[in-house]
Amino acid sequence: MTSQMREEPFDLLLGQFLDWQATDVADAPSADEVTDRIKRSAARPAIFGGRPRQLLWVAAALLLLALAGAVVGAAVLLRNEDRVQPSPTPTLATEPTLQLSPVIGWTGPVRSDATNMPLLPARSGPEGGRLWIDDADASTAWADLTEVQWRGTAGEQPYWFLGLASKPPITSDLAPVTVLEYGVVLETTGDGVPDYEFGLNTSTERLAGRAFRVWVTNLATGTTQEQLGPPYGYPVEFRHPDESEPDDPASWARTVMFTFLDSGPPGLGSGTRYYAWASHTENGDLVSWDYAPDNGWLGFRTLVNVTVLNLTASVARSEWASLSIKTEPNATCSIAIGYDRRSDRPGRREGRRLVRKRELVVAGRDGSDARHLPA
Amino acid sequence: VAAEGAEAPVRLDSDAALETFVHRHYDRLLGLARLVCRDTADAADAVQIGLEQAWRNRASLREQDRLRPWVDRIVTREAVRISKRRRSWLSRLMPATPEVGWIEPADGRAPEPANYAALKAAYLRLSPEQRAVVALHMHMGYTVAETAQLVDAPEETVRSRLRLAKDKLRRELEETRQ
Repeated sequence: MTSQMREEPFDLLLGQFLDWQATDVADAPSADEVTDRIKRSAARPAIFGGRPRQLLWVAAALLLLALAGAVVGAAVLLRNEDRVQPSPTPTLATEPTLQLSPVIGWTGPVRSDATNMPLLPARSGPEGGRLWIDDADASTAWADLTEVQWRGTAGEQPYWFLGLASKPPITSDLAPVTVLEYGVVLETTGDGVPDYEFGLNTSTERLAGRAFRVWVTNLATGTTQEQLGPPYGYPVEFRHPDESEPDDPASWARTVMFTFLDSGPPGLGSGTRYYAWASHTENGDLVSWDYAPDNGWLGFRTLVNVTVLNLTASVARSEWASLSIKTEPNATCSIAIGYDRRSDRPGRREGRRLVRKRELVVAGRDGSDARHLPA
Repeated sequence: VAAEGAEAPVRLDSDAALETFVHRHYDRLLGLARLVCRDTADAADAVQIGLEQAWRNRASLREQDRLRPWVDRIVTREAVRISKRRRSWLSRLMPATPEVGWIEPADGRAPEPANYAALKAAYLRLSPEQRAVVALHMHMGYTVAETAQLVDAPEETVRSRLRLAKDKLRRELEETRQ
């Protein structure tokens, strides 16, 4: 018996079980009740989510806190004293201990020199995205951006993946005075002036169950949408390393992800530029920060003209074909190579086959380059 | 991700449209959340919160024909969060019995088929993320690629979760039969 044969009856059984389990909802409220609650909640301030049950929880929590305030306060103090500091232990300082982002010091997520920053070419990344590898140059590994990935295509949901030099400590284990922040700044209008900033930080109210604060700021108007504590998802969706599962790829344990469940800020499109940032503060004092890139913007796509100068065809097996192209320096070119199989022998199948698709960065100083690819 | 099915798509642009959407999709969303959460109360919470989020942010949905997967995604994510939070509390309170699954009391109103009790116990021992991909792929009919988009995970991770979940369910079911 093959594994496939074993799989099918089990899949059938599992499917029937799922159908049965999904209908085990006898005590759930009716659709009418849910609709009414949604309408009522929409009329209430969003800070409480408009949910009576949540309000009850808040009231209960406040009552408990009032009754046990002294005990909780003492416990917090003891906890702070006995805390095992996460590794590496943060160095308290008001100035960064390493030479960071050499062009400019920390001016907050929004760089003061952003207007003059160049658009840098990123290499191709997984799933058609863009990948930027950044130097390990921040004094705190959890605030050191070593990689920025963007995935998505124009018109589709964009994802930003911020790779850190090290997995940050579990947020609930951080001292209350420690705040780690990660985010992205967007430029959507083509003038080089940052238009939006979004990010998350480890909330100082995390002891009250509000582990993260997420926000999106329109830098032109100064308005900010934010969410403190769950339910998350808006104004910007994220995935924090705290959420890593054992079967996730190892790199996810040190990756912060952002995406927009809705259409995102107006103007977000193929011409959008962005850079990522991270910071680590202790007691409000900046300890470490990083921008990625250190000095420049990244784009969703960098489209340039490519001219094929020469293509040698009709190559024999095990010989080399030569391809010459001319484009702008450092452009990333996607090159697909295939062949027509044409045979004079009767009975041989004819057809086309893609034998290689790869991307390469044109390294020639004048934009010309020649690569030899095996036939 | 699959657009809304053969039914005329609903735009969440009025109270009447909200009622239509909720009535059309509530049972489906509740079933989805039920397959991720441990009990009906958590599932109902996940659907309620998810629909509230969708309603509050309805104006920002770019493609209205993707309303259904958009809401499925929100509800799934909320169901996973609730389940993880519940699991976290349970694991803190009862850390010494990791192998003991939480099995709800049998509901006398609906007789359980013979295999389902064992399968239910094993299913509840899956992680919320595993239950989410099983529910989306095997119950809701989303492809692996669509499921990956809905749960914000690479396709490889979704395949891995599906494989591990099915292996675990099959193994525990066989052990019960022996």
